[in-house]
Amino acid sequence: MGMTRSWLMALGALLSLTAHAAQPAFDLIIENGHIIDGTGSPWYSADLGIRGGRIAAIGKLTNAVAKRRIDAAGAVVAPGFIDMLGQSEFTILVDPRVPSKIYQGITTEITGEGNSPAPRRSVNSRRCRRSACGLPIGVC
Amino acid sequence: MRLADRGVLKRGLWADVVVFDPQSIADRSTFSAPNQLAVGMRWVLVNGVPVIAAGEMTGAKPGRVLRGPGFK
Repeated sequence: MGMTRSWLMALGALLSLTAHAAQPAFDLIIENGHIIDGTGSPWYSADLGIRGGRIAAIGKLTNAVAKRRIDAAGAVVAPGFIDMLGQSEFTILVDPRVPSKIYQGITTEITGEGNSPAPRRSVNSRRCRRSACGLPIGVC
Repeated sequence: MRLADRGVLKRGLWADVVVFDPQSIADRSTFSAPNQLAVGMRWVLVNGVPVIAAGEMTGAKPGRVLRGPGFK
């Protein structure tokens, strides 16, 4: 009885330890950057933690676990730029990686002016998702 | 466009993030040589995935179609 109990306690301690270690894991941390968050606030120094494609934490993440870390010392960390009228719907067809956009830091583009070849239903079709097409940036 | 979950750096929003050196960022195209890429972006992430990593295009295509409330 006593043996079972102490064994269970040891197991419990081990489990809580593992849970504690696994909890703060990020896919990516961008550290030491100057954060300009896009709200109009002045810049501040912080690390940015990303998990599952979303921003999971902003703050001091020096001791957090991450699969990958990017040193942004001396650089600005800002929201990706939104091109309010990009008109690159044909450019996307020529080079789907749209280097002309991403090298400017554009991550979302609003396209079409009344009518547009993009977005089309085919971009999201099952056939299209399986093949090489797809988008490097968000397109409205 | 009423995109509620992009455009600012805030916990819970999609990780569309740029990392650049404000001293070196520049537009290189001119009237005589218009087909030039901009320079100075170190990292560009779309939905948390790098499309530019350490200044180089990765070829990743993590973007998606975003539909506004007017979509029918």
